[in-house]
Amino acid sequence: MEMTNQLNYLSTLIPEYIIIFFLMVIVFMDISKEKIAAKIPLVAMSGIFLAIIVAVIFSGNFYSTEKILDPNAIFVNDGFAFIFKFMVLASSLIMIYFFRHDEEVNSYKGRKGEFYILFYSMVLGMLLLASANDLISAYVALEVLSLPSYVAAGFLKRDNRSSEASLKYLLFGSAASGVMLFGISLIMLSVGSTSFASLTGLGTVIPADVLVVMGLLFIIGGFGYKISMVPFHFWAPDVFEGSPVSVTTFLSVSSKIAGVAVFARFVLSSISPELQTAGILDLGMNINSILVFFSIITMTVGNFTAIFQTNMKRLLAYSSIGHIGFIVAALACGSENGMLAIPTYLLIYTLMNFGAFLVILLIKSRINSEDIRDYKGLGYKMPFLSVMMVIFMVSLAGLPPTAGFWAKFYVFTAIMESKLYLLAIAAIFNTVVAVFYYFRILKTLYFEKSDSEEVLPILSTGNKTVLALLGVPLLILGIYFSPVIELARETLKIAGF
Amino acid sequence: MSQFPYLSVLTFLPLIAALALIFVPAEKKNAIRYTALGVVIIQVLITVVMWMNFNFSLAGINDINGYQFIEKFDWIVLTGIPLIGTFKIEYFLGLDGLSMPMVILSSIIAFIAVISSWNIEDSTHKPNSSKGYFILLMILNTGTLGVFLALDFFMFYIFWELVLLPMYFLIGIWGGPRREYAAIKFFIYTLAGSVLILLAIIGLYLSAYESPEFKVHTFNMLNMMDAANFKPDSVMSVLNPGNFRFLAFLGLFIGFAIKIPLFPFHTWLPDAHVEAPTPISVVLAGVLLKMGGYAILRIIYPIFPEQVQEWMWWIACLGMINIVYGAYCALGQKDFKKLIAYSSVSHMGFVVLGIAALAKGGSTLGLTGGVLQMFNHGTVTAMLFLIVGVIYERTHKRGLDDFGGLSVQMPMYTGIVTLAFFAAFGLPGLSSFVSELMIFIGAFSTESIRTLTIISAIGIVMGAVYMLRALQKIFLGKPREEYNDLKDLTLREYIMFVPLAIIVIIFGIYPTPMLEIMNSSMTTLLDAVMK
Repeated sequence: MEMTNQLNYLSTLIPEYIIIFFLMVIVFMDISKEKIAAKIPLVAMSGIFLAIIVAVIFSGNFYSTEKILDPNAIFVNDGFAFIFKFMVLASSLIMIYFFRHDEEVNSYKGRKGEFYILFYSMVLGMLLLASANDLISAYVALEVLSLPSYVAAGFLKRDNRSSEASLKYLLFGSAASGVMLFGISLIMLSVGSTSFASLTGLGTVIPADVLVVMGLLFIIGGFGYKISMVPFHFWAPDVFEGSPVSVTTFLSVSSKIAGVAVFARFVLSSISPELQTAGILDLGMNINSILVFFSIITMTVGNFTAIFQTNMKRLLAYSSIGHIGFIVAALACGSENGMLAIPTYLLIYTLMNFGAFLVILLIKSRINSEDIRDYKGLGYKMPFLSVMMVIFMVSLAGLPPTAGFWAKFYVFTAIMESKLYLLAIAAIFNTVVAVFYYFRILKTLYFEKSDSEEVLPILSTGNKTVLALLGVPLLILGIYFSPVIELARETLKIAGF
Repeated sequence: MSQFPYLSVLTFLPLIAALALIFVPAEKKNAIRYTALGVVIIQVLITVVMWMNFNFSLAGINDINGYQFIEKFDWIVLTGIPLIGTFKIEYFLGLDGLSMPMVILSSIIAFIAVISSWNIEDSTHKPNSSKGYFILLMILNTGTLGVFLALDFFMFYIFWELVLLPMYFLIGIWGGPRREYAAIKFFIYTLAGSVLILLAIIGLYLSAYESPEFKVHTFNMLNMMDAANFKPDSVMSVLNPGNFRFLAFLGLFIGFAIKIPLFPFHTWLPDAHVEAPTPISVVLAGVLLKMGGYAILRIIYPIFPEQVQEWMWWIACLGMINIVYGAYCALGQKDFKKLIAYSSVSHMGFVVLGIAALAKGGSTLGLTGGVLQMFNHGTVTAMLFLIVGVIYERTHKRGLDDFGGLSVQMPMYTGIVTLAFFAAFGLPGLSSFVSELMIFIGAFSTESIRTLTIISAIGIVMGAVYMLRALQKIFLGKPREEYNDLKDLTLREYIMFVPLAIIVIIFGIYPTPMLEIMNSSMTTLLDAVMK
């Protein structure tokens, strides 16, 4: 009996074992000969591919009606974890494509292996975060994700901005995790256990117990830092601006997916089971009203500050803060629809963000600038790229007929269903504001004439294929949206939602 | 309904053409232009065929059996969604007496717009910009037709939003000196209205069922029109005392009022119209503004009848302000195109005044006049903007004081202009007179808005004033030397003007063809809103 339990526990983390194994392989490849070291990207890609396959194979466990999962386990591998792990791994696969085209990173020739080691460590941290079912394991996973991120942000040793980004990230992240650890200790004191299952009901009404309140808030602060929720977001713009573009993309997409996964699991655990299925909450003082508050300020700060940005990476940093505001709004609903909306939104957000960052990467490799003022007239010099950018911007703004509209629509439906009308008003207000800065990019591309007449190198077929693979699904899903929600629903079934 | 899918072909043919045009190289201008022309001619032909097969006795506002050429099937169905159950969006297109005039108008204006865009050039004189232009124009075409034909609220919303993106680029790239400002102002203003509409849509969706027995939420507009279909304790149910019906009505009204444009949400129009290139101004004034009026009649009137009855006077008041304020603003303009833009505002005010003339068991004159005015305003204002375009293309000037005595140098042009101007202020014998007369009789006979009607009469006089003043300043008086070489109308311009002129004259003398389309629908609409 004991052995079967132990084996069951072991099997929850198989994809992670594969990542660890490949990580070791890459370390050894890095310290061996040049010829072997050159194959690292290939090995990295196959490692992630294998991890995806394994994760999908082991997802068959979910459909058994016997719940073999122990609610007190520190890592679980249920449907909820699966969909987030899948998104993390799939996005990591695309990231390897980014790395190959990021010239800043590739200019540090001898350090390529080091970069992939950092990357793999971050992937490991993300996978662990998605499965974490205990406050301590969430903390550990968070650190496993964060520490390599600090280094990766500062990867461009010769660039001052990169080093500054890394230092800011380190300081902020350490402070945030310290605060979170303190919050965990407070919860441990009050409840006696750090498992997520033991948090049930804590967030429903704010009890007179100050320790619990403080503990919850500190932990929200820790998770909120990772997903750059306001007011824990101050690291994001500088770190996004200073890091190399591919690291920024990785942080903005995959890191947030993992952060949202663990945050959602935390919030879900702290609502009582009755409320989980009822779906309609009255706005008493509970964790959902706190999240409504955070959501509104996140959306507003993110979208309003983005208006004033001229650096594209910084602009997308603030835009992603705005999107996180939407996701937290879906979380704040506390209903099943809200939970369904989250992976749906994240999936489409992944496609859109990757697309936007890829465009920035390709433009940067040609005109060597990330400033929006240098994008003038590029619509005519790089037509394919700009048309793709139109799709990504329209999708980010949430307009039909792109998938971004459906993602926002589903979140709106969840919000309206939970009768959070103030949140709905704030959300639509921010949608309109966001259109301004997304379309300012399009305006610069198409409405203005470029200052120089130089002809830019055209995109390779590979570039065009990847751009099309990111952009065309956004249009197709914009018209035929069912598959995404079906996918989200199927995988959330067994996780008790 | 195993007949030829007229409505789908009508709506989506331009979109397919746009996708096909993507693969045509930008240098092949003729291929691009003739493809677009072929598409709009096919659309006009389909519209004529539908008109000939139109059953005038079917009303169809809130009754699905009264709609014609219906195409209805499930588009997106998701079962097992928590709490909502089944999430269903239908592909539902249908035509009735309210949408038929709009569809006819759309097809004609699309044709005119393509002819007018023949030699379009963007402001930086890039050599091959017509490919992008025609692709966007085709997408715009799909959007406008889809709005008039969609009977599923979600489809309606998607088409409504689909119009925004091409307009942004069309104004922003091919427009005048302040085009970027005008484009983003138009976009954000209209988008703000659209998100309010979205909230109302979601609220209605969560409240309405397909039928009391079949408790599946639906976006089907016809189901929402029947109050028995609502979930009893939902936010939009009449039976629920704590309902948000007024807020939904307000949200929808503001969203649609921005499009009309109704005071005080009209400020985007002068900028957008003036800075847009001529063909886009034609489409904007001819079709897009009608989307607002049509939507109010299609959506707000049948679904929120109590709110309409309660706020009728206010709607009429806003209409009156449009008429009078728009007319005075037009009078004060020095720019010819801006004058036409404000006249457009003023004439849409007539539409609103007409559709607010509702009395239980009263006449449908106001409603019919309003819808007819929408059609007439579309054709007449299209002519007016084309007129401005003619002179602007030749001289690149639009100021009223820049011209004089053009009747000597361009006599045929002056003839067309005179016809258009007289039609604009409603000279008897031309189409606008019929609609304005119907609106005034209908509004005057509705006691609550009688005073507003009397005040609006000033608008008619003012209309004549600014139109005749423009006529005098530009075309009469002493001819100027610098315009001696101006060519009169070319063949292409005749093709643009003659169909519209014929419509304006014939419907002024014999409006029956248009009226008989609308009659039964307007009666049913009046009953639906005053019940």
